[in-house]
Parts: sequence; C-alpha cells; structure tokens
Amino acid sequence: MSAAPLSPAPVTAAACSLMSCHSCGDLVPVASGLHRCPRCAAGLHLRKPDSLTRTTALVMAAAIFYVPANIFPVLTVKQFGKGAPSTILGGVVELLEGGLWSLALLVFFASILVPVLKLCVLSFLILSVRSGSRWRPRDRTVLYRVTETVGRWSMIDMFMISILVALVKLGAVATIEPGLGATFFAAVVVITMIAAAGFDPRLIWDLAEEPK
Amino acid sequence: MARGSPNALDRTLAALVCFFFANLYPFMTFSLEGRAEENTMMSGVITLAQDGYQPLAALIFAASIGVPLLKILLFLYVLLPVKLGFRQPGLAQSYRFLDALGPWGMLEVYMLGVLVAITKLSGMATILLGVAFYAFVALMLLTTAASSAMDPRLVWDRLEPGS
Repeated sequence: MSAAPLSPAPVTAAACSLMSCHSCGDLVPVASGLHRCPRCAAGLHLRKPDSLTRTTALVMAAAIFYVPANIFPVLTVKQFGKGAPSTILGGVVELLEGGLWSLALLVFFASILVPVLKLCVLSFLILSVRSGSRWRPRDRTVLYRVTETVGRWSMIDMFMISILVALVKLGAVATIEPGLGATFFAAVVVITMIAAAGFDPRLIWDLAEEPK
Repeated sequence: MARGSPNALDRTLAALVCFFFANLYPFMTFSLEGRAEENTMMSGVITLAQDGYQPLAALIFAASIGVPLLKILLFLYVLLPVKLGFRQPGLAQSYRFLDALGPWGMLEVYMLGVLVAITKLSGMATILLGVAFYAFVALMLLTTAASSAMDPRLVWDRLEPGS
C-alpha cells in the first residue's frame, strides 16, 4: 500500500462518526450505540468525559496544596539533639552550599520547577481551550505531552525522604524525621499527575480544525 | 503470533527474580560513630507509617514496591499463556490494568532518590551499598527492557474474533 499524501485538513475519527478506543485504538461507529469497546471492553467516549471540568478542579486543588508543601518543612535532621527543619527549597540550598551543584540542579528541577511549570502549563491549556483559541495547536500538544511525561519525576524528593528517615535512626547521635510539608508535596504530585492524565489533548485540535 | 519480541517474557522472569533480591536483602548500611543502621526498601515505608505519615507511606509503597510487582505479575499473566499456547480469561482487562498502572510504577525515579539520599549522607557518615541495591538497578533495567519489548498489538490481535 502506498502512503497517502498528508491532506491539509486531516480527517478526525469524530468527524467520520467513529470513536477511537482509549485503550486498544479500535475504531467503533458512534451509531453502534456501544458503551464498551467490542474488542477490549474499555469504556468508549468520543472525548475524555468532562475533561476540562475535572482538570480545572484538580489543578485548583493542587495549587492550594502547593502553598503548605513549600511552607512546612519536609524533613528535620537532628544531630546530637539539635534539629534543623528544612523545606523543599531549603534542601536545594543545602545541596548548593555543600558544593553539590549538579545534584542541587536536579532537585531544583524536579521539586520546584516541574510542579510550578505543570500547574502553569495545565492552567494555560485549560484557559486556551475554554477561550476557543486556535493558537499554535501543535506546540500546545507538545507542551501537554512533556507535562504529562515529566510529572512523576517530582517524586525524587519523597523517595529520598523515605530512605533518609529509615536509615538515620541513631537515637541521640543523629535522626532524620519527616515533616508535614512532605505529605502536601506528595499530594501535589499525585493530583497534578491525575489532572494531566484527565486532560484530553484532542480538545486543542477540535478547535484548531473547526471551519472558520 | 510472531509479532512482539519473545524477549519480553525472559526479561520479565529475570525482573521477578531481581524483585525478590531487591526487597528481601539490605539496601544500604549507614554507620556513624561506631553505630550502624541497615535498611531494606520496606523500612522507609514502615518508618513513615510509624511516624504518622500513612498516606505518604502508602504512596511510596505503591510507587516503589506494589505497582512494580503488580506490573511484573500482569506481564507474566499476559505473556506466559502466549508462550505455552493457551487462552487465559481476562486478558483484555489485565492488559488495560497494566496500561493504567503505567506512570505509577516509579523505579527510575526511586533510583534518583537513592542517589540524592546517598550524596546527602556521604558528608555525615559512611554508606555501604548492599545486595539489594545492585538487584534494584538490575530490576529497573529489566522492567524497562521488558516494557519496550512488549507489543500491545500482541494482545489486541489475540482478541480479534477468529484468531
């Protein structure tokens, strides 16, 4: 079979009254009235249901949790009874002061930059779709894809905390304890991951391909 | 049924072996002023739960132990019958579940967390890496290799009527 030339206005499955299964990619006619994919039994929808509402709610929840996640300490290092609680940002500064700039950069990227950028990018995508924007659909899709992929890396700090608190339990000499900020930070990571998964990037293309 | 690398099954079996070593043996040892503390992957989860951080403990457990194990078992459930030539019930559901678990298994992210933890402590005390650490590195590489060798069409083709 020879490759068909790319048409300037690609045909979408939805425009042909076909639903594509989110799970196995099977195409099912809308007119069939099926709610489950006949091949793999996943739920069938033309677009992810209530995508914008869900994503908006989750992004707002994550933004609220983001504040205590950064105000409260995520861990406290106690040496000879003296404790020094540190926040997420404090942890980065400590690494930097210790001369570990490459690691400081990694933690800064994963724990500070990624969550902020995720919240900004998701808010921007929601607003652009809600306002019916046709601006650079391709770049916005790439932005979405990156956001969805990179989100889980924010968990680096949480894993580090779980290792430190278990390892450093030497009573009076040295202990490391978790802090309240860690719970909020983990909540931000989980909520933004769910928010990103709930956004349907096809909404960007639906608007871009509508006849003017 | 030739499509999809047969390596996926071998790699998954190897990953299962590594999983047990990574979880049952000491991960690292921390020693300071003549006192030593040893930990396994589970001890972080247990300590967090004891300190009153149950939700965080549950999340760490799921991302570093629960989901990776579930993924290995589901891989075996999907792939073994293909090799042995019989049809298992719930193939589509298993594969969809595997797909949904995708981003929640975070072995690579955990690896970086370990790296940051080691570096943070190295100025404070002596760190010795245990058997589980090396098994964990192998586990991480093998699960990634198994996932990349897995072709989902292997599953969907099997579900087509008449196959």
